[in-house]
Amino acid sequence: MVKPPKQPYTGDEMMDNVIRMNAELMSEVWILRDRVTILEHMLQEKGIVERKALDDFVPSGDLAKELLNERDALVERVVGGAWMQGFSVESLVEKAKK
Amino acid sequence: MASGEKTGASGGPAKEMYGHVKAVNLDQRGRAGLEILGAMQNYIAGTVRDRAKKEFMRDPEGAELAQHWKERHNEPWPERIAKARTVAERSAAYRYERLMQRYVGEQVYVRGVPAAERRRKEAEVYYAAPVPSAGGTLELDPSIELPKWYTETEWHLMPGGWDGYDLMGITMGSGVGPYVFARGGYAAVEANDDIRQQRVDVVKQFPKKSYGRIYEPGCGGTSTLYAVHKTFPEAELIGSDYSPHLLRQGLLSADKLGFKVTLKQRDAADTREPSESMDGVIMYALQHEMPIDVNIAALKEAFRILKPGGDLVMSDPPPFAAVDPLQAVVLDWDTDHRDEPYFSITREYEWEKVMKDIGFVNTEAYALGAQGYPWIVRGSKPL
Repeated sequence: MVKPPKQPYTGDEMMDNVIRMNAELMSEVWILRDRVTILEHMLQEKGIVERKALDDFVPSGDLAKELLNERDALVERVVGGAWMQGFSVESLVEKAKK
Repeated sequence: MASGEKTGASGGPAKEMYGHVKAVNLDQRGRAGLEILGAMQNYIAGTVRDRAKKEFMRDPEGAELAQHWKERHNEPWPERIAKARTVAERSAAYRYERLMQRYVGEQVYVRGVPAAERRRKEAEVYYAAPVPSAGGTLELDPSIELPKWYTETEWHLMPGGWDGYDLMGITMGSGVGPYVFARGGYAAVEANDDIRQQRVDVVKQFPKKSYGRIYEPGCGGTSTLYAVHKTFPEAELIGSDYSPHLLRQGLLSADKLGFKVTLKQRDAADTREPSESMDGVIMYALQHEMPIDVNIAALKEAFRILKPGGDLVMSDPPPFAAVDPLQAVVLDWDTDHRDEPYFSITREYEWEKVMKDIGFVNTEAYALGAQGYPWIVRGSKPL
């Protein structure tokens, strides 16, 4: 069993944890980005979707609305995460309606 | 695909990949997850550590330590290092760089072992496939007594050590080696250092143009013996190690790459080779893994098996005296944080003097790289 470090490197265990989480998230972002790039490459190679078509595509209608909602929800979760520490059944149900 | 490789078993000619032949292609998550660790390590060891060094030198106490680093002979190394560490830890950049070093050090296994496991079937196919022999042999010794200092250490945070996981060769050779170590930036290896070229550069420190027989204690997966073969193709190569896993991987790599090796499971201090039977001995990144008494015994053994006029070349991280204070703190850090229990104590010694005491002549020590690594200590057995 590889033992954990004896003390936090930053002097604060929670700060160490946050930095580790950040590194883990960056890794996940990269793994997804790597995969999407390969996906785009393969789609183009097979003549299914041109990468330029992806760049030039402008979402509209229901797709644009879906992306807007997802984007706003992400911002609320991430940017607002620090202030979302109090909650009730009502607030959670309200959240589900969004 | 025009610009990709098939997943699964790695086809085509054998490629030497940082300690092992690349056996399989990891899945996308495994590959990309390790590649981002390589990028992180490269960045922190370069840009962030440079910042830490500047902050160290801006600290009056740090500047004073740097000015007189090599002259503080009356102060034992642990005390000198502790003072430098106190200054280093005032730097947020240093603390962050160390945390990320530790993170990458852990994650190479946290990600690399599952990545190898997801390729178990392909790995089994790879290992089961017949490989034309290059003429090499492997002699394991089930009766060999492995010392506690070896069995109780999880080297480099590797869970279970080299023999604790049957696909560790896949983890390292098909994952961590090419995707993380290849970017440099760990232990004494600087960011962007080419560790394969470093092995070749070290082998070139043998002073003669050709060699008959060359022995390597602690040969691991035969990467260094391969560099020896490339440099001295006429030489007969003999290697030993404690680890059966590494020795098996080493023979397989040699067969795949087409060079002959004689591998034996042996203690570096008791090779059981005849006296005066080798023209050269090379020790690569072995010294810092062994306690002082074992190191001295291994050097005496090297002296015994060398023919008169034979040469010994050792390469390891530099001694504390050969680097600046912050680099010394960085090297010392591996002892407690990357499970390298003998890293610091072996960096306190002037090994060329130890070799001289054993009987070697023409001993010398010098750096090949800017930050003291690779560090070379070499000498010859008198005629």
